[in-house]
Amino acid sequence: MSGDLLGPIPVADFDDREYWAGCARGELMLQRCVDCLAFLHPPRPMCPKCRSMRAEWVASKGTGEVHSYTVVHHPSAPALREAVPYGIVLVEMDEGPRIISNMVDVPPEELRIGMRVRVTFREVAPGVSLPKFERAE
Amino acid sequence: MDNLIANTAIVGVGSTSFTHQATRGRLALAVEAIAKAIDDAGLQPDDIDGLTSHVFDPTTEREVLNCFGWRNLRYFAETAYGNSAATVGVAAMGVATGQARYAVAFRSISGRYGDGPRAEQVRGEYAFYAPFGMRVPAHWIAVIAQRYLHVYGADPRAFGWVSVVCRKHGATNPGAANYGRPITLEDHQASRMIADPLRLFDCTPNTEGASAVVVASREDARDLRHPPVRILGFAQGSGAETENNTNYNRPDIISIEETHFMRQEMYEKTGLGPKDVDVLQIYDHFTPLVLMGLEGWGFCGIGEGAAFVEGGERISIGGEIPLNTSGGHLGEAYVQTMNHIVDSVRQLRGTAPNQVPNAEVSLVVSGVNLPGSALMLGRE
Repeated sequence: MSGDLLGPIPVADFDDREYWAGCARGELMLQRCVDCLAFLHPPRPMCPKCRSMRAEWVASKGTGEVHSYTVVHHPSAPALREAVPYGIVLVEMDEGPRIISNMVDVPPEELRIGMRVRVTFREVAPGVSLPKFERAE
Repeated sequence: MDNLIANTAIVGVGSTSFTHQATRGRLALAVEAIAKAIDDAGLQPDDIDGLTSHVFDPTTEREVLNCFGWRNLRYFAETAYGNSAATVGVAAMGVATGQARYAVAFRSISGRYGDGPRAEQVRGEYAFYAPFGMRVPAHWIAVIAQRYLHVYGADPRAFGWVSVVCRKHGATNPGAANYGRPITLEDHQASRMIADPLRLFDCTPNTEGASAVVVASREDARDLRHPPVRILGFAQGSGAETENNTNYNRPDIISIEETHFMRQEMYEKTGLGPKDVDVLQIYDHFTPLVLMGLEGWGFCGIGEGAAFVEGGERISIGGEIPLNTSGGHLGEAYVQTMNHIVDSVRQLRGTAPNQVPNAEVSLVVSGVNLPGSALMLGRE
């Protein structure tokens, strides 16, 4: 279970500024093409479906399911020695985009593909929050 | 369209010793492998006028030419994404178009990898992964491997058979870092979990070493020291939603989409298919991707990779399709398939450490889950 920061702090860049700003205020914002309504994730300047460069940001319903996962046993950095074992989940949001995250309330051994989940947020540095997930079933 | 690559051949190969230690710098390794490849071809260093390298290898053409004292390299290019097939393919393109007469492709890896990511901040693509503890390639691949097991109902021991066979081949290759060190399936199952379902023996160890290849035209190749090995085909391919191995927003994360495109192009260009391949070399940084490679290139059906490798016999020397006959990354060394290419050339000359009898055609698949590349090599 991990609501913690397990790596470097994310810093917003040009194309994903709205994504991280949304996280900071507790909203999972997804980029969507204005012209064909395709979701673009990770964020990018052009829609790969219709090549439009007009995108908007919409709040996700916040629900999805676990598409896959892993449980990390070997700490890849000294700072993670206390954190292992920890789970990493790939969540497929109901809108379509898939997002890497961690479960805050499910121990690693209980992770399952297909598990219904809901987004929640954890502040990991002043003004920086990560989208995390909790069980929704 | 003419397949101009088919007018070229590999005429020289060279590798350093391979070890799990860090003993020398990457430049010393690179120039040793290059010098060996040039000598193997029966050429002199001053015959070389083209040089291709890896973007992932910090060793530059400048450093290499400063060592050899070259003043007029006419052709140089860096190839991306850890694809040695592309590095050799682009060298061959230089030769095929007359931009170079004798071109060298090389890859060097120092055993000194540092202590892992230390950055305190991350931006761009990795910001969506690293803050969640997804920090090294084993993590990226583990998520794909877990989904593969789920969708096909496969047993993770299938990954183990890939490792067992690569280590078996490495164990009888005196040049391999794992020479004399085979493992059993029980060893694989007992090895510690790194990122479920990947165990230690599913992951390629860090190695030190370099390999290089000299490419010439088929015409020039006739007069050189060894029987030339023809480059029959070269293909590069990319899939949708390509990141650095993560590719999690592809519709299907367990099919290496680019493989399917390359397969079609390669088999069309060469008129060859899986049944014609005597020696198969697949980029084996993590065992699950070898199963997907076997499937993608048509050696077995989609989702049948686990059953195909069970027991290891089909992919062993003497089996249906001998795989990574020098040991590959898992058994020989992690030189991003430049070592696989060197082994294929030796197989087709009949001088490989683990010789496949009468090997005539070899397929080398480089770079997977990134824009990839492949070479089809054949006896002249």
